[in-house]
Amino acid sequence: MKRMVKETELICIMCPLACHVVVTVDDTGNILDVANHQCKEGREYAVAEYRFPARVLTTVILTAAASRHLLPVRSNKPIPKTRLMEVMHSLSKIRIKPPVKMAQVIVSNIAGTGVDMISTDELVK
Amino acid sequence: MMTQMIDVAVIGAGPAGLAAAIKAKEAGAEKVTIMERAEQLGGLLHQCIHNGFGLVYFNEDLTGPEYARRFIEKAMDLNIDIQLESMVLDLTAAKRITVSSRKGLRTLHAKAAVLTMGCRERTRQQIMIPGTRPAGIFTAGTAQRYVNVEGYVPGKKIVILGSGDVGMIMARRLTLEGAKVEAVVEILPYIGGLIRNEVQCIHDFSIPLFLEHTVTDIIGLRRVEAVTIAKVDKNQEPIAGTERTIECDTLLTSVGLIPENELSLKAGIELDPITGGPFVSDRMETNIPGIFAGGNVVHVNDLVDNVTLESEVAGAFAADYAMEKAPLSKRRISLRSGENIRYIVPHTIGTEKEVTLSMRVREPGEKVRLRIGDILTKSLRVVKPSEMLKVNLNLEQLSKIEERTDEIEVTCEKRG
Repeated sequence: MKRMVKETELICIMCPLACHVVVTVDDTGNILDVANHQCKEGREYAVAEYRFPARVLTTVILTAAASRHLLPVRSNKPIPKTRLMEVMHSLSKIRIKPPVKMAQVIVSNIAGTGVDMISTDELVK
Repeated sequence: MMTQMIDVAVIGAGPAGLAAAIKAKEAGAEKVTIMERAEQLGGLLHQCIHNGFGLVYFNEDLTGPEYARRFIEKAMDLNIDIQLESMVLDLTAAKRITVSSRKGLRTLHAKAAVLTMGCRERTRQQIMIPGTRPAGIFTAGTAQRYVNVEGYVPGKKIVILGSGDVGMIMARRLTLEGAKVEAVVEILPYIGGLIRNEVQCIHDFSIPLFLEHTVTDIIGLRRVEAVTIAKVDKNQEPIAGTERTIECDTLLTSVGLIPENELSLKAGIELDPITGGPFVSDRMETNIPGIFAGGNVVHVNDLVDNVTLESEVAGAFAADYAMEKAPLSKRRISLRSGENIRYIVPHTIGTEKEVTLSMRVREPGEKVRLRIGDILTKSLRVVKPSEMLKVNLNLEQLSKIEERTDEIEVTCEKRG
């Protein structure tokens, strides 16, 4: 039986060279080859990015305070890229009351991702 | 009119001003005053809610508000005099500063001053796009303020002209907030911002990127209805027959930043036509003794961490000047931009103080050699105009500069 092989191209962000690294995987998800990178960091970046493409999400949420309309927040860990919009949707329903301190958990385990959203500024009345 | 005597006056309370004021105070200046026209400290960091700040300075990945908070708290702890909603209207070479605030007009007399006014965005008018004048055209920074601070999304279908960092970051923000970014259009063959922003803001959301394209027309009478884009030739002139129309209700421009130096000109400070900021020495002192400058008012940086580091130098030496500490020797060596170097900050160096040179290249290049006179060569895999080059010169390297040398050429040549 012929094995299915898939190639994915990823742009490395470790330096301005921006190598277009090609990751080759088989149908069970095993990485068979990493190519077109020019350094060790490039290879590591490509493998990590292929295995777990995730980003720290930063956004704002509505407040119920007179001092400001919006409070900036971030995820305390990277969120899988495919679930970012779902998390945004879930955050759109929140209206946070003051006071809020820096780095306070606003929503824990947002949308079941296991990630907490925390404040990145304080909110006074 | 009241006249107040102070040691160090800092104009602008963004990341540059906070760093300069903190360092001036720590270096021993007693009366340090920051004047800020906005109602809060931190400059534009409060609207830069994304992460990526502090990787160099703190070795941590912080958002703009988090980065600002660390310096705001430090400034408070040090009892730095902070004057908000205070706009500096005039500055003289004798360091007389006229400030307008709710209390009226005041004059301050400072022993030393630090210019930390930052930069502002180049506008549509300055790049001269033809077409009508409908609503729906914003600079990327204005849109950022609307979305992140005021709570308005400026449109539903967006085209972004220019691929500077703020433009790319807004492409992601607007997508996350439910708008559709139809295109990012860049006149150059490469993006204007950092590679991580191209990947994480453009490619992550499959936003169409048109390199070597520009906006040739804006359509719509009351509100933007569409824009016409076209491919450009080597001289950046639109190529006939390559036009295409993209329906949209909003056009954002992210077409460069300009150091804000109206005040500097009033004081008689000489500006470098390439950077748009003052000529500075390795102490970040301008041509007017006792007036220093740091951050984006000197040259537009790509990382806030570098703004902080550079402004700390300005603040420390402003304190020395105010305290009449013996200055370093008068010996000045000019740095001249040679092959593929667009500019170098500082413009002059001495031999008695370690210095960090910040440089930008004119053109992208691979496998190049950076050469600083006879004192240092460095092989680099890749250089890009969008990514600043930084090189430290230590005392040992500086001691290699010959006695009679008054100019050093910096070049970035292809390796043979």
